[in-house]
Amino acid sequence: MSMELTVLLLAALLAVVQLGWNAVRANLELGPSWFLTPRDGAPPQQLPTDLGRLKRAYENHMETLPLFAIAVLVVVLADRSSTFTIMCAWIYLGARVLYVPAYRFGWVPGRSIIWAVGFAAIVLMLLAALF
Amino acid sequence: MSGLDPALLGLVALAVLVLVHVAAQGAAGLMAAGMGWSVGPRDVVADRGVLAGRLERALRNLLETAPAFAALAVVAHLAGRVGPLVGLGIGLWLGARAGYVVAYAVGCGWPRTALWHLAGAGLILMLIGVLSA
Repeated sequence: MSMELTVLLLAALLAVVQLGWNAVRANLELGPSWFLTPRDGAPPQQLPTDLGRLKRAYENHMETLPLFAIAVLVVVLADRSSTFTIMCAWIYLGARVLYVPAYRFGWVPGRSIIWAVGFAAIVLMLLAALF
Repeated sequence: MSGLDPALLGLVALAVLVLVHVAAQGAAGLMAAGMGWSVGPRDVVADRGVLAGRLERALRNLLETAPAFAALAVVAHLAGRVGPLVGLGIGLWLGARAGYVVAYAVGCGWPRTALWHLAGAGLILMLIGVLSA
C-alpha cells in the first residue's frame, strides 16, 4: 500500500474517532429520551460549548476529507506518488489532528492558520497530480 | 497534464470546484460577520449575510451529488470505460455545477434550477457510459 493511502486511512480513522467521541458525549448529554427517538423536533437543550466546538471541528473535517481522498486517489491511480505528495499527505493529517484541540480550546487565530495549512496541503497535492 | 484520462482530470476538477466553493463562502462570511467571529470558536451563530448563505447552500447542494460523480469517475477509470459518453457526462456535470454556484450567488432562480437538471443529465450520461461498454 502506498504511503498516501495509509495516510488517507488514518484520516478516515480520525473522522471515526471524532464521530464516536462526539456521539457518545452528545447522547450522554441529551439522554435516551432524545437519542432513541426519530429526532423530529429540535433537541431538548443546546449542546455545551465545548461539545459544540468538537462537533463543528468534526463537520469541518468532513468537508475536507473528500477532497483529500480525491487527491490521494488521483495521485495513486495515475502513478504520481512522490516524496512531495507523501509530505503533503502527512502535513494534511497533522493539521487535521491539531485542528481538534485548536477548536476545542479556542486557539485564535491558530485554528484558522492550522485549517489553512491543511487546505494548502490538499491544493498542492492536487497540483502535483495535474502536472 | 499528460497521463490523466478525463475521469481522473474530472476528479481533480471536482476537488478544485469544491475548494473554490469553500473558499468563496468562507470569504463571504468573513466580510459579513467580521474577522473576530471567523477566527474565533463560533460559539454563537452569526448573521453571515445573504451571499454567504447562498454560497453555503450551493456548497451543500454540490456535496449532495459530488459522491455520485466521484464514484462514477473512479469506476469508469478502473474499469477502462472512459469513452465519449462518460467524457461528455463529466464535462456537462462540471460545467453545469460551475454555472450553478454563479447562478445561486447572483440569485437567478430558473437558470439555477435548469443548471441543476443539466448536471443531473451529465450524471446519467456517465452512468449509461459506465454500464454499457
